[in-house]
Amino acid sequence: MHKKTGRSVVDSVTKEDVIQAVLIADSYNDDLFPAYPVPCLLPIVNLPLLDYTLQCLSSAHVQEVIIFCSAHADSLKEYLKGKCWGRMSINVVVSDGCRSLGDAMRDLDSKALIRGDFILLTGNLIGNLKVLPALEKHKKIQKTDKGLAMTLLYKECGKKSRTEDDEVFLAIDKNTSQLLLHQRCSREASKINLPVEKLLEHKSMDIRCDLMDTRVAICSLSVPPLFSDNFDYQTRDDFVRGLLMDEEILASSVYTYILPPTEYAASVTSWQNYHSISHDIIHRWTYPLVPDMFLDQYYSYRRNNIYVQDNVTLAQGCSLVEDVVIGGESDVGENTVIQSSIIGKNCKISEKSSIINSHILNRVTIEKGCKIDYCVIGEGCIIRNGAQLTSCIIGPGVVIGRDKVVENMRLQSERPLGEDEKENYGPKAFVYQSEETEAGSDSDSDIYPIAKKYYGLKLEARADDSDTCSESEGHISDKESLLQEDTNVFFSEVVDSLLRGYEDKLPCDNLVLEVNSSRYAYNVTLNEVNYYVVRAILTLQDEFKWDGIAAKLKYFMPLLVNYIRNEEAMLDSLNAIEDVAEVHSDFEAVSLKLIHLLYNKDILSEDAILKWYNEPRMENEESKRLRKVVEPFIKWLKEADDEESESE
Amino acid sequence: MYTKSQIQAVIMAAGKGSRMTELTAKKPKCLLPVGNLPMIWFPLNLLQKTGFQDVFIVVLETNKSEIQAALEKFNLKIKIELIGIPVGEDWGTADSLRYLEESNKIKSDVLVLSCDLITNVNLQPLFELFRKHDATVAALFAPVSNASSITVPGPKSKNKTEKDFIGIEENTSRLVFVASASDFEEELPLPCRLVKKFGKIALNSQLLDAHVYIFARALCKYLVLNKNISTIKGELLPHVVRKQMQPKHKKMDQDKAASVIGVDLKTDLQEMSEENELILKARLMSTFTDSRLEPVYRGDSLRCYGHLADGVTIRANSLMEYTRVNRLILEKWSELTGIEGNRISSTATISSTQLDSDSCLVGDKADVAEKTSIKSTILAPNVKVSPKTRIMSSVIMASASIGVGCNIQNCIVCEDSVVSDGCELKDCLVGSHFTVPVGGKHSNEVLTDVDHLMEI
Repeated sequence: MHKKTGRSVVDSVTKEDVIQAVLIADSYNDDLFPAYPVPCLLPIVNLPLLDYTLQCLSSAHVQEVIIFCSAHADSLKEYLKGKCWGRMSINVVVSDGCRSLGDAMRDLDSKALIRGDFILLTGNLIGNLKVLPALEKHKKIQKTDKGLAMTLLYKECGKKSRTEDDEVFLAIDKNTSQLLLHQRCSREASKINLPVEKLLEHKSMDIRCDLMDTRVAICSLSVPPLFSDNFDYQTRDDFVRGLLMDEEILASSVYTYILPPTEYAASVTSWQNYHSISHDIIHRWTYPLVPDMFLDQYYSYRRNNIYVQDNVTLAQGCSLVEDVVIGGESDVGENTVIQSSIIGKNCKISEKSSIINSHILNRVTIEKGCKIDYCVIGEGCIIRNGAQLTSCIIGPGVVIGRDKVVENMRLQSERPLGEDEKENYGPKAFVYQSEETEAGSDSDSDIYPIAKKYYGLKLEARADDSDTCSESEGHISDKESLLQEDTNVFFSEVVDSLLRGYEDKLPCDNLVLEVNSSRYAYNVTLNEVNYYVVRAILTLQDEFKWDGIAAKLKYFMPLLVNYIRNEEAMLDSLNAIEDVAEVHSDFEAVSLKLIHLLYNKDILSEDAILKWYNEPRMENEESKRLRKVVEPFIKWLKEADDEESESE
Repeated sequence: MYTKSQIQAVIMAAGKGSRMTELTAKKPKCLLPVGNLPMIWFPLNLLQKTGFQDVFIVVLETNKSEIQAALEKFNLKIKIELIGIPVGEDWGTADSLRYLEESNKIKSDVLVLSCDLITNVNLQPLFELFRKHDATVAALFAPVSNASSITVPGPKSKNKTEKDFIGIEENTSRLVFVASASDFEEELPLPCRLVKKFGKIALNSQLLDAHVYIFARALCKYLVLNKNISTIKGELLPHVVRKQMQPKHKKMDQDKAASVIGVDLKTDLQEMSEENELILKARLMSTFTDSRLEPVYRGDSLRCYGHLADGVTIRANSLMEYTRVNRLILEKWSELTGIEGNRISSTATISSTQLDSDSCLVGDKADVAEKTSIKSTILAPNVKVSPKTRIMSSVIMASASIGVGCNIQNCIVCEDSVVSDGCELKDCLVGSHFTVPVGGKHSNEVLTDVDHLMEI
């Protein structure tokens, strides 16, 4: 059935023009370093990434592939030599100056290689998707929307299979599938801001974050010129964002296409999804691109997703638990345990080792009693007896010394230029220096800080959503969220107003107006206003350092003068101080100074402080502790009082 | 008398019709005629059709007797109890519901609807949704009817319909987001974690909140403890929908926090809708799930649902909607009222041959003289139409009289008013007891006593 429809689509498309695909071979970052020198030839389940990509394109009836590369052009050409991909022709375009996808597209524009709609993808796509239906849909939309520039391909997925970088919020028109909003998740942003105008214009839209970007897109002829016109577009994200933002000016639109559940597509962009995608291959989501169907190598497929090639020696007592791939001519020693791992060709794994969740490339030697967990080990590495590696990426040719314990590292075999590093991990093992981080800060060679983007294979359990939420909604901790909703919202609004006011240096009079309007909006009593204003000022900072608090207090002094007018209000503010101190223990230390300052500024009167001190609202540990902290001040107050009366 | 599985019905009919003051000056909104039937007849009929046997109607105390009298005419089988809002009180819908709860009228879950609802929707799926998922709230939504725009009688003004943003998770019908479009100027901030939690939310700007809600009993009790909530649509619903997202507190924290901050724990809705341990256990053992990778109901004890209904649904709460519904009732008379035929009353005297009986409704004892042409018009009881008059697409309310040689197009003529001889009215609204002088030519005007409007 499927084939038939596919064929008819082919006919209708081919008559018009040849289906072209533009494949960007470079990743333009070093996220996947240093395990393999050429990123798009990195083996995944013992086959280079590019192989999967090209096979997928060829079975999707693509006729011409333009491979764009800047670095590693020679090794790519070498690799492609002598390979045949059916009717599909491959052109390699080398362009040295390219630093980003944007550059590549601009180069493409100047070279005028594109004749019609084309498929844009990167050299690390794994999938069995059919591109033609997407292309067909693209052409169909083009008839109604002349501005259609790009159709992005997405795949539905669960939460767990994605890294944080892959998460994206999309707003898609329900009827037309036009993309209306594209926002990467970030830890800072807690809200998605949807333009109201678009919402009203489009009857209904889907807000989704259950989609994975396949990084495949169908592009119209207008895309390369758009990149040329807007030379600040570096990545595809820039392009999409720019188009959505200047929809009217550029007169271009972006649409989405969601792959049917039977098709799989994913791009390897980080070690985390390298790991999860290789498991998808082992679990046969990518069928027919699975190990036992590869043409040039024969695998036997056994129970529990175990794939073993010819001439593999499995010694007695070794156990392959599940999800294991072992390449040809490899040996596995006695009592070795392998689970959820991929072993390359010609590997020697000695006895009593354990390899879990790892990827061992070709010709690796692992000696006795090693423990390897969540690692990628490059070609020709030697791991000596008893070494323990956790969450490491190891480049080709590295030798790890005996009994070394290595965690969260990226290692390479060559000594970095100009570095005088000791051989901490073995005779040929040096910490890999990411070019990106090098430019930023001088890094300590001994304790190398993990680059921002590098996490290793392990997909860290993300902070529980419920935890982050209480913070994100106006710094309200769990305890505080018990307060009634309205006052709660009022409080968070006050915090927002003050924060903005402080940052933009707005006059306090305006802030008073804002706070008052919030007050009426949420029907909050005056007492509560006093309480929450003080509390908000104190909770504006994350750290309770005296300097920060003093600066803020100085700034907000007019606000305090405005609200703290009578004794009752003073008590409210003291209570607020007490409550803040209770939640944040480090605040206690500065509370003495704080009360003193407020006393000096005539915000708090002596009577109020004494009253507060002598009549605690409740008897508990915290209030006693706080009162102990401020005791010296109270003493001083009393003494001053006595002196005064004496002098009289 | 009430078992737990029953649902009580409440009709909110104390609205003053502030969006159509021209019509509601002399008459409570719920008695405005729609197809010669008082507006409130429609929700009552709906309830009766659905199988309700009794209903509370919340009305203003001042209108109570008038409404009582009006309803007695209609032989409804459903038992009606009128609840008056005391004079001088300005209660919102939630206030009224709270009053019912406080006066021990509410014994079970309640269905709340508004007196201006005119629909042919079947409520059964809504009940099922509510019961099936043991919901806290279930609400009915309908597509906004944007049939060819109509000219509203009276001065031309921009008729901005109020729009809501409704977010529904389509696979499970969970109602996850409610907001009024007018609250936002340029951007609508949507919490990230809301989207993360549900994965996919259909956000709709073209849905009409039919103001048909089923509330769990717990919510009524919650209202009693939270006196600052005064309206259902504006406050209660968004509040509860938002509460769904609130993470559960640990018991330990609660005790501690309670002593510290002094919040009355019972006022917390989450706490109140806490589910029976046995039910939770049963749910754990059941194979039912509404999301593939998450626990059932995503572990929420508080759940709101929204049912999308097809069919005609109109809320006649503004002049435009009122005009629209009167137009629509002529087209879909039997569909909306359930009354077959009977469009022209048998007691009416019709001497005209030019009365289009398929597009008109004529009330009892109406008198239509000869040589008149009447099309797409509703003539209420006791209307008198004199000869040589043409009436098109209009509503003529009870006991109005139209003089000789008039031409009336797209007008609403209120009760007891007089349109004198030779008037030409187009897109006008004639107030009650008003007399349009002889030969008057008006278009797009509201014709009424000026003093009278000032009173309002």
